[in-house]
Amino acid sequence: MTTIDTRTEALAATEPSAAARSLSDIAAWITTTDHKRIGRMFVGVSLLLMLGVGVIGGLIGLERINPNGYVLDSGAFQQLFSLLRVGLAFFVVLPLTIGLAMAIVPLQVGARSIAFPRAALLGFWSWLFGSGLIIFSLAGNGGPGGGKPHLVDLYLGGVVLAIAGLVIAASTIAATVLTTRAPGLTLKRVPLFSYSALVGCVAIALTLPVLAAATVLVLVDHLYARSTFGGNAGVLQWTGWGLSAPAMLVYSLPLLGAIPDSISTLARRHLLQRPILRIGVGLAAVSAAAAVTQTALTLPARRHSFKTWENFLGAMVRYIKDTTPWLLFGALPILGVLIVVGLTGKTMATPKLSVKVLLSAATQFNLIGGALLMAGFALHAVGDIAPIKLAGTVYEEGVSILVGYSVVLLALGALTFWGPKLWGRRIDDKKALPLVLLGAGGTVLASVPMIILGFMKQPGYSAGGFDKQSATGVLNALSMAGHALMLATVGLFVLVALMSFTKGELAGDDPYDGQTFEWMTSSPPPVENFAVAPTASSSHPLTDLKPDGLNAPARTQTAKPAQTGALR
Amino acid sequence: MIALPAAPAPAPKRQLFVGTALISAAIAMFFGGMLAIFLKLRDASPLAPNVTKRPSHVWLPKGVEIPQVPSNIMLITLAFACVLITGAIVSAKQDNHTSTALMLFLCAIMAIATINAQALVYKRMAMSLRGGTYEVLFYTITGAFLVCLIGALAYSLTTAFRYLGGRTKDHDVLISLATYWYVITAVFTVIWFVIYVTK
Repeated sequence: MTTIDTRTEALAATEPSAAARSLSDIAAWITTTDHKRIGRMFVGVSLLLMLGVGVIGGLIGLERINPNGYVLDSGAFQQLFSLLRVGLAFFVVLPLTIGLAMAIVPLQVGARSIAFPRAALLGFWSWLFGSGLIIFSLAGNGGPGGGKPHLVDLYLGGVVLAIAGLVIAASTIAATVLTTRAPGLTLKRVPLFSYSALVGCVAIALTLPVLAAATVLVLVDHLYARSTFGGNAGVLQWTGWGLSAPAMLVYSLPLLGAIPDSISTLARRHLLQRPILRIGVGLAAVSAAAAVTQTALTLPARRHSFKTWENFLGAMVRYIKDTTPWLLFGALPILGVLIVVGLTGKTMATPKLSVKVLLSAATQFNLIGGALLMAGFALHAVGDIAPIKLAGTVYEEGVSILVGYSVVLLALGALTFWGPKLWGRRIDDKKALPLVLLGAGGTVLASVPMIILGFMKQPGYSAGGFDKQSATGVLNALSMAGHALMLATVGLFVLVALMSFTKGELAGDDPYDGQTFEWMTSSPPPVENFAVAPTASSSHPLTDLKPDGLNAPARTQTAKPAQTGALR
Repeated sequence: MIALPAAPAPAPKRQLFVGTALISAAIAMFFGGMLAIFLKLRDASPLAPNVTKRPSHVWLPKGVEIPQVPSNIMLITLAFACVLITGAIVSAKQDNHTSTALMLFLCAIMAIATINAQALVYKRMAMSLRGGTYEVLFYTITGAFLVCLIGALAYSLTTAFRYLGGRTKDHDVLISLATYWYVITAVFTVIWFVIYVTK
């Protein structure tokens, strides 16, 4: 016979303590296979690392304006510079884009979970562990040009591990869009963010292994022979292409579709010319990924004589031969981004957007981030024009910072827009809106002076070799201030987000009267996302389910329990 | 708020096949990058054939010869593994369980045979990894391929035991495994041509 002791003291004794509960919560986060949690971990860690990148950018600026040589140890500058480059690409841009896509894309395509959830978790931990090794080795005088050989090896191993994690994570996102879409949601009907995540993640999964290959070869050579790849000094020479444009353009691609998706939803209107938008995303992805294979390609400085008919034909052929590769690999990506940003603008303008929507933080983060990203694409193409002679100058650094920080702005926009879905509470718009200005100012100030200094031939990857007293000193100081502003933007945004997502106004399930599946479920969604399997009959499936379509009054509270699968 | 019990999720559409295809494409790009560096360094070598007009093997370290027979056997073995895995898919579609399991185990044996042939190549070449450029490139590229082969071996054995365990209707796993075998065979064909034939 079984007896049950119902005395309260006996129950209290079996109840887990607060410490046990916290440990159990931590264990649940560490071993989670919920894509929303993994995505949030990616985003959270990368925002924290972004604070470090901002500090490093500021320190580099300080080195460059200091007239009396080095503030820090002269050898440390190389490590700081490597941290800035690696940090922008591997700690900020890639994990932010992949993390946001991981959290949102399965919801957008109406999937119960991400494809291969355990692989997604493995991707996160592999990236985090690899990033930890990179930071540890660079801090201990390892990394490119580092003085401690074992830490140089550790750095290279960390890069390979981080790449493996990011490729695995990107592959799970691409596989999710390709295989777990809800019935009726064809690829043509997939929301733009999911589409750009698919295209961008495939591009990342094809680009990063080439960087891993170069890194593995450099690692083996450094471990055993040191005969081929220049030892510690050759690390950046062989792997540096993966840390600057055009590779950075590829890393930014998954967030490109977030611009039209979020703005059209906020404006409560359907996107214009969806097929053209998809072409724009595809064009930017294919041409940017192709440009990675052609990093040595420039628009040559050849004079073309058109004086006689024979000369004219020959010159025309040479002119076309010279310009076509540059147009394909340098200029075509700009067209792709221009299409996305331009058509988003057209969607906003017809009819004119209300001031409330226009001046919301999510809209502004997306608009300004998109415009700056497009400028980054364009300036990369300008850098490939050989006669301007920008190679080896700080120009390349300026473009990478512009692209990297634009992605941060777009990510903050995406967090402002999709945060209510992931956390169930809205971000306070009045507190977030000033951060748009701060972030835009920081991005422009950190990058544009570097671009101007590139035209003034300030050498790249160096704190010396130029006049620190004249205008260059002012421009370097402005760049340093830009990094500080960006640091403040991200720091303040994290604070605002923490306050809003814990104590802010409840968002409800469908705060924007959304058009896509993620707004159909509860906020935050349950572990398996949807209680009832959604079905799509168009590219705006949730609108189709609403009796009054887009003309419905803003739904600040939950949708029907039948849709959310939740009882209140 | 009480969540209702979840309804059964719709079956994903060929998820394992798509995942395998993506990872296989990444593997192909990985080896593409390594071989591109191999070709670049070979062309830049002062002993490169296009510089000296001499046969290409002159950039090999002194006294080192690539054994042709085991490297050719490796290619043939991998091609045979592709035939076997295709046969396994055909047998599975015809519900011939014995034949399917046999072919999967034979695929695993082909992987072991290829690893064995690679070990023979290493033994006969007897190069030190610390020797120089060629040694680093050779061992890194072929070593990375060995890792892929071990992956193929594990994948084949897992699929075979799943099949023996009664999961005979899961053709997607077989097709995914075949995709992986096809891709690594294509990768080895390029490695064979670049490293073992044109050296």
